[in-house]
Amino acid sequence: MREYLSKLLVFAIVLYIVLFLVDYAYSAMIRTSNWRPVEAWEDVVNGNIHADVVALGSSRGWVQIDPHIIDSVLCVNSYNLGIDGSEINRQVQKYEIFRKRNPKPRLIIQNIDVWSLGYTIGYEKEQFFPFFWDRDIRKTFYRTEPFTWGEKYIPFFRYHGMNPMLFFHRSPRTLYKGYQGQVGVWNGEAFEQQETIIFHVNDTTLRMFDSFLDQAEEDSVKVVFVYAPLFSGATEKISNRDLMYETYRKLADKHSIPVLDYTDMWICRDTAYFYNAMHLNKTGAEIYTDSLANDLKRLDVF
Amino acid sequence: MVFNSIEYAIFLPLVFALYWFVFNKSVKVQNLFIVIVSYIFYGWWDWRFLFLIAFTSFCSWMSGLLIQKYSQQGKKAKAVSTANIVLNLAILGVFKYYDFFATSFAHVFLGGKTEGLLLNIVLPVGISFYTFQALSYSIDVYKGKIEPTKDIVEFFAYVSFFPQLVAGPIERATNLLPQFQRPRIFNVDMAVDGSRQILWGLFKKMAVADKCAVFVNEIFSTYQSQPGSNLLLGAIMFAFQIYGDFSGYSDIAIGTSKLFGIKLMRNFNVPYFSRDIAEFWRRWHISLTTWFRDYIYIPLGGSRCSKAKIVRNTFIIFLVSGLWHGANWTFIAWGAYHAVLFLPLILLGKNRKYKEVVASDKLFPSVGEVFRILMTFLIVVIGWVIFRAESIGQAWEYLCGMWQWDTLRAGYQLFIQRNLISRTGVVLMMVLFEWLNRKNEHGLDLQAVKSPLVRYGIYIFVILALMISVENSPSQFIYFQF
Repeated sequence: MREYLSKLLVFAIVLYIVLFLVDYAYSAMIRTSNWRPVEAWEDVVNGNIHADVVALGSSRGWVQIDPHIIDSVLCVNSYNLGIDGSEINRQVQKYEIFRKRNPKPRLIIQNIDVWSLGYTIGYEKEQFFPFFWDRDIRKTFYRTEPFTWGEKYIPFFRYHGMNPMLFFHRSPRTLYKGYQGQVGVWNGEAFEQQETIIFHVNDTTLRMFDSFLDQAEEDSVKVVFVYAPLFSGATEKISNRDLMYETYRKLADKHSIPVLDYTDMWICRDTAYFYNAMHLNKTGAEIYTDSLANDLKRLDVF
Repeated sequence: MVFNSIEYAIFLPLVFALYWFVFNKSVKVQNLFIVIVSYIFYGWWDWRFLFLIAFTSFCSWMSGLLIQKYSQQGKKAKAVSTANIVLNLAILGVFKYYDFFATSFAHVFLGGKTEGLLLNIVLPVGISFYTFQALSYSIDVYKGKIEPTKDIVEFFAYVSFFPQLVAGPIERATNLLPQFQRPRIFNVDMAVDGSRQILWGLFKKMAVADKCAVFVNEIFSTYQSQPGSNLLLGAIMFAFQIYGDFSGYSDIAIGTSKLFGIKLMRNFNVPYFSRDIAEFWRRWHISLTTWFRDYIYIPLGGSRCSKAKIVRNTFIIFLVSGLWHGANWTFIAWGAYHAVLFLPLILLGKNRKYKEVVASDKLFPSVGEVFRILMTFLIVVIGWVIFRAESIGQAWEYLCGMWQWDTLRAGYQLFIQRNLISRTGVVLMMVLFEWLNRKNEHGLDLQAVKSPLVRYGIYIFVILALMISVENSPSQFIYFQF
């Protein structure tokens, strides 16, 4: 029995060491792939972003604010830090890591929506897998996201079920300065399943957002709140829109933040500029960003 | 509790430690402990069915004692044995087949009206397995092959031994019961090999079967809109799914038993390397096939009788085998399909042509052997479509659609899109390991590899492949439903 248990123990130790090394090598390889969420994090953690303007938001920031246009209209260097499927809690966490590793921007374009004050965890948590060895990401997301015990403590286990060919995905890059325009046509999705929609404010997210705005003030980084275009059919279904707007208005007043609202922009009534009710396609994004950039210019935020 | 669960990962080491370190004072104590943990293991699904397994075990145990008591009075002993068989089959019939036959009866005679006719009882997990195991005991006692045991705990341990309780191998009292009667001494080599076999079983279940299942389920649920090449690919994937699932379970069961000093019979012996259908049936679900052979086929006269009786016996054994798998006409059709394939071989006396494993004295098979293996595999795959389908009509439509080759390109695209490269990768890995170990008991039998470094390398490679392949939502073992 002692011999068997010794063999098991030795094997377990060897296995753990090998898994540890494989995990490290595999993570490093995946970080060199063009897998979209990894690309979005790579520039942030490597400190490659030297931007005057950064855009924060969910997919409505990521696919709708085009840095090409911001750069050309404002004559600045901009970067889109949008994070798909996120609410403000995750966006703020991403900005915190950005702030530690990259030079401060001069302006933050904060995309806000009536649902942004919820609390997102779990969505596409795989994007954090290759960054397990990054201290800041581990400290930030491996505490808040729903990782299982095995994913946290058994090396390599967190990659189970993922496409093992992922690291063969190479150039071309899928993102331009964090942005990815979507060449899609309207798919008819406009909250058809729901009669009315009510959104709620999560206290933790609200506190995080308030602290983030305090920090920006302290860092002398200007912030602009932006309501991006939303397809008109969808806007009508949101029943507590005014209440959510009021929450943002109080925050804007407290921190002296200008608010730009594009939810009633002319493109909101034309499906030609959307691929679904919540997202502009590439054409719509370019029109919207151009309008946004010119409004920022007029606001003279620099 | 299933083998590929966190609960089992805690349960097994705990039971192992208690078995060898705490309850190792006597065989009786160890047997009692096995019964208790086996009942916990089984009760994890539904504790109410514990009464059923206890009742089945008790009746079979009592019948053994009564058969011995009336051994001088042939008629009484036969009556007891028959009563026990009828009782066990009645329980199985009520729980597993009643609703099926009632529905079929209603369709034929009552215009499909089943109101008040169906029992709608939940099928107890593994009922077919433990019922057959209990039956084999009383039949063997009646035939004088084994002495009945007076120790009820020992018998309950034999019927409920947790590694093989819910999906076999269906053990014989002649093999398993004596192992519960003698003291067990921990054997390092046996335990190490058991651990390897558990790892191999987990790989087959979690990396191969579960990975194939995702694709197979999609193809079978949308078969009407799938091109022929996808249907063929879906059928082939199902062949590997069911093999990985069931033989994986058997490997885990046999491997686990080895940790407890108990040797179970082999249940699969590289069936997909068979050169004809008769060889396939000697290598697939061996414990069930030999059960039917010993308790139905041979008593009916086997193949040592007239040609007409051989045909009858062959059909009976395959139809019963089909019905054993489930209460659906598809299983009966699957049995009939195999009977038709098997019959020419047995009538021509060629059913025992291939006794040794293919290419037993060389590394690679000949071209002719490869051809025979592929042809056998193909006809087995066709059978699996009938087995997997929800109705005879669906099986027919699927099989007809499978041969439309004009859409090969669509299949290729699906192959690329659906990450089939990694799915086929694990299947090929399983086939390679099993080929290299085809003369050994399981695919990870590395006793011949002397270098510990190489052995460790192979284990770690398998674990890595398992970790990366395992699906986020593991599925239930297919054979639990039988």
